[in-house]
Amino acid sequence: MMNLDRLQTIINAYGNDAARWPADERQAALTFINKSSAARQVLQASVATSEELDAWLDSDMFLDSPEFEQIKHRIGQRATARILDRVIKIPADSNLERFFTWLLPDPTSRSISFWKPGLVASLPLVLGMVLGSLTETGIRLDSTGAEDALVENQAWDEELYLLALTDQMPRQWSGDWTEE
Amino acid sequence: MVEELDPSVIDEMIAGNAEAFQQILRHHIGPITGYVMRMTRYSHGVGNHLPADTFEKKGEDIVEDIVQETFVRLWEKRQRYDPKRARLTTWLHRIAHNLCVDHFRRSQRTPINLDINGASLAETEAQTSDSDRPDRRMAQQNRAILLRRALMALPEKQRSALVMCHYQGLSNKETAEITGMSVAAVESLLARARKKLKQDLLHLQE
Repeated sequence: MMNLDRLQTIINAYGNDAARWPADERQAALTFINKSSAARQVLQASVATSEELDAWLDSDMFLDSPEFEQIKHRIGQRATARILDRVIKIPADSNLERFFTWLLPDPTSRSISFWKPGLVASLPLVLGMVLGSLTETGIRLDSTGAEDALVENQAWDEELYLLALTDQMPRQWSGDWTEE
Repeated sequence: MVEELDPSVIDEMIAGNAEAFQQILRHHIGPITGYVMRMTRYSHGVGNHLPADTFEKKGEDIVEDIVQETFVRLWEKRQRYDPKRARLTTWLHRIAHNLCVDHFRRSQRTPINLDINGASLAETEAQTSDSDRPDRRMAQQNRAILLRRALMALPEKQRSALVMCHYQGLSNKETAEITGMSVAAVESLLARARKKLKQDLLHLQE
């Protein structure tokens, strides 16, 4: 319901330019002003200061200026690239994408953590150790044929020598096994 | 006032379509950048008597960060957006507004001197005097700079209400929704903002 108090509130808040008044009350306010001389007095009283302030406010229509267009373009380009870079990682529909999203450090984040790539890089090592401990190695006593056993034993000894990391090969390993 | 996009584009974005998101990004990035620029203290030439064609690099970075975070949050929280309840521009302004408020809270320890009482229009004109430029353009630029300084001197809530209603073309109900206040509270803020601006700007003209 439009009355003098409400009209005064509207003018104080939005100025005396009816175009800036709340759309759902504009028509009622204009009708009230046309009908009421007291309402016209309220409007007249605010004209001088309100128009001056609106002129000040409108002097900063910066968003319409070419300068703003340049700044907006600059910010828009950089922000769009960064946004899309971040956003494209977010959907992560497949498990592989989800894995890489989890794994790779976010370059836009202030605290980049490298423990995830480190953890993933150490996984093959751990896996190798586990497999190695589970795999049976050594001289197969149930080999069929003496020659097969000798070849196998030689290979095993060479492997032990390499693992020992020493230049001195034990005498019994340096000779030809076939001679003993 | 920002025109709304085809509702199907918004529906596709909510469903996770990145192309629809890009379309929304291109459509809304201008108004949101404008809002953030007006709200942050580093807006165009404010508080440092810089010529209007100089834009503080640090300020540009802050604006960019807030704009970027606004749209990333739109994407991350897209399932929560209900087109029946609010326009997308209202929702985006709300996100940007909250980020601006966060920024103000973080940067309160290093306030910039925005005392507009120390400068008059004539003084500022003298500081930025440039004989190569037309007087009228200079006068307009000076008025704009002083206005921005006066805007920045307003309390944050009053400035938010004024920027949303006057510059962003948002309605009083939308502004109330964005700021989490009643329409009456928003109108009270607007009235106080206009009163203070009148006092400050009239003082500058003297």
